[in-house]
Amino acid sequence: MKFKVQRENLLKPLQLVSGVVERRQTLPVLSNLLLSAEADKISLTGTDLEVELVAELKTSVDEAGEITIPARKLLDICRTLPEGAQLEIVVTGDKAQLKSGRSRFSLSTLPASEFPSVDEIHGMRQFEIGQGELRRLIERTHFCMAQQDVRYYLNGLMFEIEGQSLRSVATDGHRLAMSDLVTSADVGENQQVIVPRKGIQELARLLVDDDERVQIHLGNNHIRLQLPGLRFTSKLIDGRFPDYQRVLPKGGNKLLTAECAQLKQALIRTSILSNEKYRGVRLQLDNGRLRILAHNPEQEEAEEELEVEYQGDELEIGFNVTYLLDAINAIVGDKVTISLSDANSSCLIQEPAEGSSKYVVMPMRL
Amino acid sequence: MTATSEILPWHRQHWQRSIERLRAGRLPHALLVTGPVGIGKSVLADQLARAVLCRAPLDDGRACGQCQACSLYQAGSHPDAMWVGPEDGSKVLKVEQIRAVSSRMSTTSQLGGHRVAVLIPAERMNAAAANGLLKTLEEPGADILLLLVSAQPGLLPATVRSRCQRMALTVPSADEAEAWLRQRSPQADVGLLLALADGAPLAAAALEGSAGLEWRRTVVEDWLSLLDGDAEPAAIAQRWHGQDLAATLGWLMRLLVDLIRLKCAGQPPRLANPDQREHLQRQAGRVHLAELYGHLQRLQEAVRLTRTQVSAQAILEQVLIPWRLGASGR
Repeated sequence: MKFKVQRENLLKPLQLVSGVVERRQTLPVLSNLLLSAEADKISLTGTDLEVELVAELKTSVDEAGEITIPARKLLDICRTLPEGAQLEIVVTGDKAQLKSGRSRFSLSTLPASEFPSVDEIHGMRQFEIGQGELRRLIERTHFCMAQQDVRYYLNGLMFEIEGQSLRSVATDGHRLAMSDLVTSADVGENQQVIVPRKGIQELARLLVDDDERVQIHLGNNHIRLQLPGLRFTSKLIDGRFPDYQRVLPKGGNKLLTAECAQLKQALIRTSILSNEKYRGVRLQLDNGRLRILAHNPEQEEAEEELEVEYQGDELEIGFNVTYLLDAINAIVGDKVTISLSDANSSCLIQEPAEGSSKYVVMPMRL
Repeated sequence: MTATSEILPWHRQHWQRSIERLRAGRLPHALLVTGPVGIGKSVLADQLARAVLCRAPLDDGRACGQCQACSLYQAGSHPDAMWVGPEDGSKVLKVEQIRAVSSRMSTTSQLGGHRVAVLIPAERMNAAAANGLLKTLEEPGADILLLLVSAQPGLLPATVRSRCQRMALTVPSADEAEAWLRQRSPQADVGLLLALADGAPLAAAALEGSAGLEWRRTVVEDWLSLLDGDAEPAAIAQRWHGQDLAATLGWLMRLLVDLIRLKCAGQPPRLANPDQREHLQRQAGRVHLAELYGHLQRLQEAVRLTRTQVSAQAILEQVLIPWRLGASGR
């Protein structure tokens, strides 16, 4: 294998692909990147056995081939080479020679056959959506994913395809987030997939906020996204997501509408004196008025009062303030509506004009 | 691990059945592979794991050794396969390791086939680890195969045992074992090796020309001179210290059991140490049976203690000193 490449062209894809490679790896081949060269392009593949990234770039290839080389070291070398440097990589025997200007490096390699790359995925269906749209779906819901829960199907983000809508749902059992996206293309049969946490975090890092289309392939075992110059593949969680529709509170008859920024600031201030472990705050609702109260084991107390749109009976209800803040942070627009029914029922947080996202938070007994 | 090893002759029946079930899609999600040490439980588990993952298995069900799945498996980088054993310096399978298994088993297969995990030796799971595995054992996804390999399945919690199908491997017949071993090492004293390995062919093969065999000679000589009153227990314990304690206790156990056999039967048909028959006969004449059972009890306790933090020196002294007392008491 032999090819030349400009440092700047290689660096960006190399950084992205090395990102998924785990630093502490017991198996040497998994800390390597798969490097393959053919015709007029090279591709770099990194994996942690859950998420795989493949970057492709055009360059002049003198001799085709496939090999794996240490990801971290290759990246460090590329990064520290001077700007505008030209790299030549030649693989002979079990060593990869790197030459650039007066620098020479010889890296150890492992055969490509030991590298677990995912070539084809089975049971495929595909559709296209805007990159920014997908990014928003993830941003608005990902914070509700569970972390290392024994209910393993909660440790990820669920995508649901239903007719023309694509919906993302995440829950950790205490709160839930869902966001809808109406796609232009009919994506066919209904389907649910759960993408593991790690894959979602990686995607959130990769997606940029623009109108460029991304191709999404859904297989029985994988989700694959084709981004410009980059292919992302993640395994799925093998389980059934809970029936989230049953969790959405219906018949919340007490509607509270507040200025997002105002409510957020008040909650942040009150949270300072809430119990550090349980993070509980008490909301007291009265006509046109919301009081937020918190106290901690040291008997310190916080109290905030703000004007809100609220008509109805008095209500007192407790919440984990972090959950409320996460949801309000994800709301777009100036105002937020919270529907409540009583102190023991969960609340529904959304944008006033029937927005595309909904958040459910369970109350706390204080 | 070699590419595609032959199925060991005494495993053939189990192998046949497993392959038939695999082809019919009726392989259970968890198999508890049990049997004495040295009969190739892990070999069979390995062969099964490969066969299940292989894309183009041979006619007899063995893995081809050529396809992508096989070459990844050999490199140890198959994304859907895990071998889990005690990590360096640890005696137990930790809960973190089991969690890694559960989390790998909860995501879909990377290469689109089975997902396989081999836990070996499974009885080394500590309580938290065993409990952590229950969830996966109870609600496995499709196409999962957990292979729990254990020589002492009794040490596993009943909750784990009851959720696995048992594949009980046994020691092959003497003829079968001898034939296999003779083919492997025509020069060796096959009979003695098998006797020393309790008839377990792989253990016998491993003994041949090994340091273990040399070590046994030392243990036997030291022990005989202890019984003759020519050596001090503390000195022997000192000398044995640093050697493989479990192996040492194993050799002592065999010698002791042989003494009991000789005591009870006079001229028993088989000994675990056939080469020491004369020495043992001599010693058997000098001790009481009750005394021997006392030694046996202490030795069993010592074997149990090897799984704890008690120092090797202390364990050895506890075993050896009573022999000396017995010898000097006469």
